[in-house]
Amino acid sequence: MDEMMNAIVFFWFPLSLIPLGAWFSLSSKTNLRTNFGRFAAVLGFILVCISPWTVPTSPSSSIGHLLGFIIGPSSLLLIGIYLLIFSGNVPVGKLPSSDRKLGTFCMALGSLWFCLMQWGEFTPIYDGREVNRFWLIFFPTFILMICCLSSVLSISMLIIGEERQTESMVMRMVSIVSIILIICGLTIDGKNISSETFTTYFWLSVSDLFGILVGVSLSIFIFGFVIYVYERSIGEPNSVPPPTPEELSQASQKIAANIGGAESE
Amino acid sequence: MSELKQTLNVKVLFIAFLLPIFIIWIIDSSLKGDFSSFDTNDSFTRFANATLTSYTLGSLILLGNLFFYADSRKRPLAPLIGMILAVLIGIAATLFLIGMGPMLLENNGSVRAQTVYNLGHTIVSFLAISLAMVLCVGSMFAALTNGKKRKMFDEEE
Repeated sequence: MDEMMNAIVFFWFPLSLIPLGAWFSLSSKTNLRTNFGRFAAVLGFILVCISPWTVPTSPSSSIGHLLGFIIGPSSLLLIGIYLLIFSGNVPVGKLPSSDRKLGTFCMALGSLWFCLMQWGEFTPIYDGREVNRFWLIFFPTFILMICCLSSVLSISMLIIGEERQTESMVMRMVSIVSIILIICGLTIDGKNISSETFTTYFWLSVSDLFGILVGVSLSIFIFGFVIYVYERSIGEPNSVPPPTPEELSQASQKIAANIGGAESE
Repeated sequence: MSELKQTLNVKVLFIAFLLPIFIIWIIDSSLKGDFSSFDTNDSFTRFANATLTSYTLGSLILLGNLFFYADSRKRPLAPLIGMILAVLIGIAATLFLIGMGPMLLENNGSVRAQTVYNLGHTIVSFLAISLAMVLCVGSMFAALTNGKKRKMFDEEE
Protein backbone atom coordinates (compact mmCIF):
# COMPACT_ATOMS: atom_id res chain seq x y z
CA MET A 1 0.00 0.00 0.00
CA ASP A 2 1.24 3.50 -0.74
CA GLU A 3 1.65 6.16 1.96
CA MET A 4 -1.69 7.87 1.30
CA MET A 5 -3.66 4.61 1.36
CA ASN A 6 -1.94 3.67 4.63
CA ALA A 7 -2.99 6.97 6.18
CA ILE A 8 -6.59 6.47 5.02
CA VAL A 9 -6.82 2.88 6.32
CA PHE A 10 -4.94 3.28 9.61
CA PHE A 11 -5.74 6.88 10.56
CA TRP A 12 -8.61 8.63 8.75
CA PHE A 13 -10.96 5.61 8.68
CA PRO A 14 -10.52 4.91 12.45
CA LEU A 15 -10.90 8.65 13.12
CA SER A 16 -14.21 8.71 11.22
CA LEU A 17 -15.33 5.65 13.23
CA ILE A 18 -15.38 7.77 16.43
CA PRO A 19 -18.18 10.22 15.43
CA LEU A 20 -19.96 7.57 13.33
CA GLY A 21 -19.97 5.13 16.26
CA ALA A 22 -21.19 7.84 18.64
CA TRP A 23 -23.93 8.84 16.18
CA PHE A 24 -24.96 5.20 15.65
CA SER A 25 -25.12 4.51 19.40
CA LEU A 26 -27.15 7.67 20.05
CA SER A 27 -29.62 7.15 17.20
CA SER A 28 -30.25 3.40 17.74
CA LYS A 29 -33.10 2.15 19.88
CA THR A 30 -31.93 -1.45 20.36
CA ASN A 31 -29.23 -2.46 22.84
CA LEU A 32 -27.28 -4.46 20.26
CA ARG A 33 -26.90 -1.52 17.86
CA THR A 34 -26.15 0.91 20.70
CA ASN A 35 -23.36 -1.38 21.96
CA PHE A 36 -22.06 -1.83 18.40
CA GLY A 37 -21.87 1.97 18.01
CA ARG A 38 -19.97 2.31 21.31
CA PHE A 39 -17.61 -0.51 20.34
CA ALA A 40 -16.88 1.13 16.96
CA ALA A 41 -16.17 4.49 18.64
CA VAL A 42 -13.81 2.93 21.23
CA LEU A 43 -12.07 0.84 18.55
CA GLY A 44 -11.63 3.94 16.38
CA PHE A 45 -10.18 5.87 19.32
CA ILE A 46 -7.67 3.08 20.12
CA LEU A 47 -6.62 2.78 16.46
CA VAL A 48 -6.09 6.56 16.25
CA CYS A 49 -4.00 6.49 19.44
CA ILE A 50 -1.74 3.75 18.04
CA SER A 51 -1.43 5.43 14.62
CA PRO A 52 2.16 6.67 15.34
CA TRP A 53 3.14 2.96 15.20
CA THR A 54 0.79 1.84 12.40
CA VAL A 55 1.44 4.80 10.04
CA PRO A 56 4.66 6.47 11.30
CA THR A 57 5.31 8.14 7.94
CA SER A 58 2.02 10.08 7.83
CA PRO A 59 2.07 13.61 9.36
CA SER A 60 -1.58 13.10 10.43
CA SER A 61 -0.53 10.41 12.92
CA SER A 62 0.87 13.16 15.16
CA ILE A 63 -2.79 13.71 16.17
CA GLY A 64 -2.78 10.15 17.57
CA HIS A 65 0.53 10.91 19.27
CA LEU A 66 -0.99 14.03 20.85
CA LEU A 67 -4.07 12.09 22.00
CA GLY A 68 -1.83 9.56 23.74
CA PHE A 69 -0.03 12.37 25.55
CA ILE A 70 -3.05 14.37 26.68
CA ILE A 71 -5.26 11.47 27.74
CA GLY A 72 -3.60 11.27 31.19
CA PRO A 73 -3.89 14.90 32.35
CA SER A 74 -7.31 15.32 30.65
CA SER A 75 -8.70 12.27 32.48
CA LEU A 76 -7.34 13.60 35.79
CA LEU A 77 -9.02 16.97 35.19
CA LEU A 78 -12.33 15.36 34.22
CA ILE A 79 -12.30 12.97 37.20
CA GLY A 80 -11.39 15.89 39.47
CA ILE A 81 -14.30 18.00 38.19
CA TYR A 82 -16.70 15.06 38.56
CA LEU A 83 -15.61 14.48 42.19
CA LEU A 84 -15.82 18.20 43.00
CA ILE A 85 -19.33 18.55 41.58
CA PHE A 86 -20.85 15.46 43.15
CA SER A 87 -19.23 15.85 46.58
CA GLY A 88 -21.18 19.08 47.05
CA ASN A 89 -24.85 19.81 47.68
CA VAL A 90 -26.49 17.72 44.96
CA PRO A 91 -29.92 16.11 45.37
CA VAL A 92 -28.99 12.79 43.68
CA GLY A 93 -25.80 10.73 43.37
CA LYS A 94 -24.03 12.55 46.21
CA LEU A 95 -20.48 11.40 46.93
CA PRO A 96 -18.81 11.56 50.38
CA SER A 97 -17.46 15.01 51.33
CA SER A 98 -13.93 13.53 51.57
CA ASP A 99 -13.98 13.13 47.75
CA ARG A 100 -13.71 16.91 47.49
CA LYS A 101 -10.05 16.74 48.60
CA LEU A 102 -9.37 13.94 46.12
CA GLY A 103 -11.06 15.99 43.38
CA THR A 104 -8.95 19.05 44.19
CA PHE A 105 -5.82 16.87 44.16
CA CYS A 106 -6.73 15.39 40.75
CA MET A 107 -7.37 18.90 39.35
CA ALA A 108 -4.05 20.20 40.69
CA LEU A 109 -2.13 17.19 39.38
CA GLY A 110 -3.79 17.40 35.94
CA SER A 111 -2.99 21.13 35.68
CA LEU A 112 0.60 20.56 36.81
CA TRP A 113 0.99 17.78 34.23
CA PHE A 114 -0.18 20.13 31.45
CA CYS A 115 2.25 22.84 32.69
CA LEU A 116 5.11 20.33 32.68
CA MET A 117 4.20 19.39 29.10
CA GLN A 118 4.54 23.06 28.12
CA TRP A 119 7.55 24.14 30.18
CA GLY A 120 9.13 20.93 31.49
CA GLU A 121 10.40 17.61 30.20
CA PHE A 122 6.98 16.09 29.38
CA THR A 123 6.55 17.92 26.04
CA PRO A 124 5.21 15.61 23.30
CA ILE A 125 8.25 15.14 21.04
CA TYR A 126 7.23 13.43 17.82
CA ASP A 127 9.57 10.90 16.27
CA GLY A 128 12.32 11.86 18.77
CA ARG A 129 13.15 15.01 16.80
CA GLU A 130 10.73 17.91 17.13
CA VAL A 131 7.81 19.09 19.26
CA ASN A 132 4.51 17.65 18.05
CA ARG A 133 3.05 20.56 16.02
CA PHE A 134 -0.49 19.71 17.12
CA TRP A 135 0.55 20.25 20.75
CA LEU A 136 1.55 23.78 19.72
CA ILE A 137 -2.03 24.22 18.48
CA PHE A 138 -3.81 22.36 21.29
CA PHE A 139 -2.33 24.05 24.38
CA PRO A 140 -2.79 27.74 23.39
CA THR A 141 -6.35 27.07 22.14
CA PHE A 142 -7.22 25.11 25.31
CA ILE A 143 -5.92 27.72 27.73
CA LEU A 144 -7.33 30.64 25.72
CA MET A 145 -10.78 29.04 25.67
CA ILE A 146 -10.66 28.42 29.44
CA CYS A 147 -9.66 32.05 29.95
CA CYS A 148 -12.45 33.54 27.77
CA LEU A 149 -15.19 31.12 28.78
CA SER A 150 -14.60 31.44 32.53
CA SER A 151 -14.75 35.21 32.11
CA VAL A 152 -18.11 34.87 30.32
CA LEU A 153 -19.44 32.47 32.99
CA SER A 154 -18.27 34.79 35.77
CA ILE A 155 -20.24 37.70 34.32
CA SER A 156 -23.25 35.54 33.40
CA MET A 157 -23.54 34.36 37.01
CA LEU A 158 -23.77 37.98 38.14
CA ILE A 159 -26.33 38.85 35.45
CA ILE A 160 -28.55 35.77 35.61
CA GLY A 161 -28.01 34.43 39.15
CA GLU A 162 -28.96 35.98 42.45
CA GLU A 163 -26.35 36.43 45.20
CA ARG A 164 -23.77 34.51 43.21
CA GLN A 165 -20.82 36.82 43.96
CA THR A 166 -18.70 34.04 45.54
CA GLU A 167 -19.23 31.66 42.62
CA SER A 168 -18.56 34.48 40.16
CA MET A 169 -15.32 35.23 42.01
CA VAL A 170 -14.23 31.57 41.65
CA MET A 171 -14.75 31.75 37.88
CA ARG A 172 -12.91 35.09 37.74
CA MET A 173 -9.99 33.47 39.56
CA VAL A 174 -9.93 30.66 36.96
CA SER A 175 -9.80 33.29 34.22
CA ILE A 176 -7.02 35.25 35.96
CA VAL A 177 -4.93 32.10 36.56
CA SER A 178 -5.22 31.18 32.86
CA ILE A 179 -4.24 34.74 31.85
CA ILE A 180 -1.13 34.38 34.08
CA LEU A 181 -0.32 31.02 32.44
CA ILE A 182 -0.64 32.58 28.97
CA ILE A 183 1.61 35.52 29.98
CA CYS A 184 4.13 32.97 31.33
CA GLY A 185 4.00 31.13 28.00
CA LEU A 186 4.52 34.39 26.09
CA THR A 187 7.55 35.40 28.17
CA ILE A 188 9.19 32.30 29.69
CA ASP A 189 11.04 29.77 27.52
CA GLY A 190 10.30 26.11 28.21
CA LYS A 191 12.79 23.24 27.91
CA ASN A 192 11.55 22.44 24.41
CA ILE A 193 9.25 25.31 23.45
CA SER A 194 10.52 28.88 23.25
CA SER A 195 8.35 31.86 24.23
CA GLU A 196 8.64 33.08 20.62
CA THR A 197 7.11 29.86 19.28
CA PHE A 198 4.35 30.04 21.87
CA THR A 199 3.65 33.69 20.95
CA THR A 200 3.32 32.81 17.25
CA TYR A 201 0.97 29.89 17.93
CA PHE A 202 -1.00 31.77 20.59
CA TRP A 203 -2.00 34.60 18.24
CA LEU A 204 -2.75 32.07 15.52
CA SER A 205 -5.02 30.25 17.99
CA VAL A 206 -6.90 33.54 18.61
CA SER A 207 -7.56 33.78 14.84
CA ASP A 208 -8.42 30.09 14.81
CA LEU A 209 -10.94 30.50 17.65
CA PHE A 210 -12.72 33.38 15.89
CA GLY A 211 -12.66 31.44 12.61
CA ILE A 212 -14.23 28.43 14.27
CA LEU A 213 -16.88 30.58 15.97
CA VAL A 214 -17.79 32.22 12.63
CA GLY A 215 -17.78 28.90 10.72
CA VAL A 216 -19.87 27.02 13.29
CA SER A 217 -22.33 29.93 13.63
CA LEU A 218 -22.70 30.02 9.84
CA SER A 219 -23.41 26.28 9.66
CA ILE A 220 -26.00 26.55 12.47
CA PHE A 221 -27.62 29.49 10.65
CA ILE A 222 -27.80 27.47 7.39
CA PHE A 223 -29.24 24.47 9.30
CA GLY A 224 -31.91 26.67 10.90
CA PHE A 225 -32.69 28.26 7.54
CA VAL A 226 -33.13 24.86 5.83
CA ILE A 227 -35.50 23.67 8.59
CA TYR A 228 -37.39 27.01 8.51
CA VAL A 229 -37.90 26.83 4.72
CA TYR A 230 -39.11 23.21 4.95
CA GLU A 231 -41.48 23.88 7.86
CA ARG A 232 -42.97 26.86 6.01
CA SER A 233 -43.53 24.80 2.85
CA ILE A 234 -45.59 22.05 4.54
CA GLY A 235 -48.42 24.44 5.51
CA GLU A 236 -50.92 24.26 8.35
CA PRO A 237 -51.79 20.78 9.70
CA ASN A 238 -55.39 19.55 9.12
CA SER A 239 -57.57 20.39 12.10
CA VAL A 240 -59.46 17.49 13.73
CA PRO A 241 -63.29 17.67 14.16
CA PRO A 242 -64.57 18.71 17.63
CA PRO A 243 -65.42 15.83 20.07
CA THR A 244 -68.95 14.37 19.96
CA PRO A 245 -71.21 14.40 23.10
CA GLU A 246 -70.54 10.64 23.59
CA GLU A 247 -66.77 11.18 23.46
CA LEU A 248 -67.05 14.04 25.95
CA SER A 249 -69.12 11.93 28.35
CA GLN A 250 -66.64 9.02 28.01
CA ALA A 251 -63.73 11.40 28.75
CA SER A 252 -65.47 12.89 31.81
CA GLN A 253 -66.13 9.36 33.17
CA LYS A 254 -62.42 8.48 32.76
CA ILE A 255 -61.33 11.72 34.45
CA ALA A 256 -63.77 11.24 37.34
CA ALA A 257 -62.45 7.69 37.87
CA ASN A 258 -58.83 8.86 38.03
CA ILE A 259 -58.84 12.08 40.06
CA GLY A 260 -59.07 12.31 43.83
CA GLY A 261 -57.30 9.41 45.58
CA ALA A 262 -56.78 8.44 49.21
CA GLU A 263 -55.70 10.92 51.89
CA SER A 264 -51.99 10.83 52.57
CA GLU A 265 -51.06 9.36 55.93
CA MET B 1 -36.82 40.20 30.95
CA SER B 2 -37.23 43.06 28.50
CA GLU B 3 -35.77 42.79 24.98
CA LEU B 4 -33.46 45.78 25.57
CA LYS B 5 -32.00 44.21 28.73
CA GLN B 6 -31.51 40.89 26.91
CA THR B 7 -29.61 42.63 24.06
CA LEU B 8 -27.52 44.50 26.62
CA ASN B 9 -26.71 41.24 28.44
CA VAL B 10 -25.57 39.58 25.21
CA LYS B 11 -23.31 42.58 24.52
CA VAL B 12 -21.87 42.43 28.06
CA LEU B 13 -21.18 38.69 27.66
CA PHE B 14 -19.51 39.30 24.29
CA ILE B 15 -17.28 41.96 25.86
CA ALA B 16 -16.49 39.53 28.72
CA PHE B 17 -15.36 37.01 26.07
CA LEU B 18 -13.07 39.54 24.37
CA LEU B 19 -11.74 41.25 27.50
CA PRO B 20 -9.09 38.62 28.48
CA ILE B 21 -7.68 38.71 24.91
CA PHE B 22 -7.32 42.51 25.09
CA ILE B 23 -5.71 42.28 28.54
CA ILE B 24 -3.20 39.69 27.25
CA TRP B 25 -2.49 41.81 24.16
CA ILE B 26 -1.83 44.92 26.27
CA ILE B 27 0.40 43.05 28.76
CA ASP B 28 2.29 41.25 25.97
CA SER B 29 2.82 44.50 24.06
CA SER B 30 3.98 46.32 27.20
CA LEU B 31 6.45 43.56 28.09
CA LYS B 32 7.88 43.29 24.57
CA GLY B 33 7.76 47.00 23.80
CA ASP B 34 5.87 46.74 20.48
CA PHE B 35 2.38 46.01 19.18
CA SER B 36 3.37 43.56 16.44
CA SER B 37 3.49 40.20 18.20
CA PHE B 38 1.19 38.71 15.58
CA ASP B 39 1.51 38.60 11.83
CA THR B 40 -1.72 39.92 10.26
CA ASN B 41 -1.24 37.93 7.02
CA ASP B 42 -0.76 34.62 8.85
CA SER B 43 -3.64 35.43 11.19
CA PHE B 44 -5.98 36.16 8.27
CA THR B 45 -4.95 32.93 6.51
CA ARG B 46 -5.62 30.93 9.68
CA PHE B 47 -8.94 32.69 10.25
CA ALA B 48 -10.10 31.97 6.69
CA ASN B 49 -9.00 28.32 6.82
CA ALA B 50 -10.63 27.81 10.23
CA THR B 51 -13.89 29.42 9.04
CA LEU B 52 -14.11 27.28 5.89
CA THR B 53 -13.18 24.00 7.61
CA SER B 54 -15.36 24.49 10.68
CA TYR B 55 -18.31 25.50 8.47
CA THR B 56 -17.92 22.30 6.43
CA LEU B 57 -17.43 20.06 9.47
CA GLY B 58 -20.25 21.79 11.37
CA SER B 59 -22.63 21.32 8.41
CA LEU B 60 -21.62 17.65 8.20
CA ILE B 61 -22.40 17.13 11.91
CA LEU B 62 -25.74 18.94 11.53
CA LEU B 63 -26.51 16.80 8.48
CA GLY B 64 -26.18 13.75 10.78
CA ASN B 65 -28.41 15.55 13.26
CA LEU B 66 -31.15 15.80 10.60
CA PHE B 67 -31.80 12.08 11.02
CA PHE B 68 -33.08 12.77 14.57
CA TYR B 69 -35.28 15.55 13.16
CA ALA B 70 -36.52 13.28 10.35
CA ASP B 71 -37.74 10.72 12.90
CA SER B 72 -40.48 13.15 13.97
CA ARG B 73 -41.39 14.32 10.44
CA LYS B 74 -42.07 11.20 8.28
CA ARG B 75 -38.47 11.32 6.91
CA PRO B 76 -38.70 14.29 4.49
CA LEU B 77 -36.07 14.53 1.75
CA ALA B 78 -36.09 18.32 1.21
CA PRO B 79 -34.08 19.38 4.32
CA LEU B 80 -31.67 16.48 3.75
CA ILE B 81 -30.96 17.67 0.21
CA GLY B 82 -30.65 21.25 1.50
CA MET B 83 -27.99 20.28 4.05
CA ILE B 84 -26.11 18.02 1.57
CA LEU B 85 -26.00 21.06 -0.73
CA ALA B 86 -24.68 23.22 2.15
CA VAL B 87 -21.90 20.67 2.83
CA LEU B 88 -21.00 20.44 -0.87
CA ILE B 89 -20.85 24.26 -1.12
CA GLY B 90 -18.48 24.26 1.88
CA ILE B 91 -16.20 21.63 0.33
CA ALA B 92 -16.24 23.34 -3.07
CA ALA B 93 -15.51 26.78 -1.54
CA THR B 94 -12.63 25.34 0.52
CA LEU B 95 -11.03 23.61 -2.47
CA PHE B 96 -11.58 26.59 -4.77
CA LEU B 97 -10.18 29.20 -2.37
CA ILE B 98 -7.17 27.08 -1.37
CA GLY B 99 -6.51 26.33 -5.02
CA MET B 100 -6.53 30.04 -5.95
CA GLY B 101 -2.96 30.54 -4.86
CA PRO B 102 -0.69 31.09 -1.90
CA MET B 103 -3.29 33.17 0.00
CA LEU B 104 -4.64 30.21 2.02
CA LEU B 105 -1.64 27.86 1.86
CA GLU B 106 0.18 27.67 5.22
CA ASN B 107 3.61 26.13 4.55
CA ASN B 108 1.86 23.33 2.64
CA GLY B 109 2.78 22.60 -0.95
CA SER B 110 -0.54 21.50 -2.41
CA VAL B 111 -4.30 21.88 -2.07
CA ARG B 112 -4.57 18.29 -0.80
CA ALA B 113 -1.88 18.78 1.85
CA GLN B 114 -3.49 22.03 3.02
CA THR B 115 -6.98 20.44 3.14
CA VAL B 116 -5.73 17.48 5.20
CA TYR B 117 -3.80 19.87 7.49
CA ASN B 118 -6.94 22.02 7.92
CA LEU B 119 -8.94 18.96 8.91
CA GLY B 120 -6.35 17.86 11.47
CA HIS B 121 -5.95 21.38 12.80
CA THR B 122 -9.71 21.88 13.22
CA ILE B 123 -10.14 18.48 14.90
CA VAL B 124 -7.40 19.35 17.43
CA SER B 125 -8.92 22.81 18.01
CA PHE B 126 -12.39 21.28 18.47
CA LEU B 127 -10.85 18.87 21.01
CA ALA B 128 -9.19 21.72 22.93
CA ILE B 129 -12.37 23.82 22.88
CA SER B 130 -14.56 20.90 24.00
CA LEU B 131 -12.23 20.00 26.88
CA ALA B 132 -12.05 23.65 27.96
CA MET B 133 -15.85 23.96 27.82
CA VAL B 134 -16.38 20.83 29.93
CA LEU B 135 -13.84 22.08 32.49
CA CYS B 136 -15.28 25.61 32.67
CA VAL B 137 -18.91 24.52 32.93
CA GLY B 138 -17.81 21.80 35.41
CA SER B 139 -15.94 24.38 37.50
CA MET B 140 -19.04 26.55 37.54
CA PHE B 141 -21.19 23.65 38.75
CA ALA B 142 -18.51 22.70 41.31
CA ALA B 143 -18.58 26.29 42.63
CA LEU B 144 -22.39 26.21 42.75
CA THR B 145 -22.69 22.83 44.51
CA ASN B 146 -19.90 23.53 47.00
CA GLY B 147 -21.43 26.78 48.21
CA LYS B 148 -23.67 26.97 51.27
CA LYS B 149 -26.98 25.15 50.96
CA ARG B 150 -29.76 27.54 50.01
CA LYS B 151 -33.37 27.49 51.23
CA MET B 152 -35.53 27.63 48.11
CA PHE B 153 -38.94 28.04 49.77
CA ASP B 154 -40.17 28.91 53.25
CA GLU B 155 -41.17 25.70 55.01
CA GLU B 156 -44.87 25.20 55.64
CA GLU B 157 -45.87 25.75 59.21
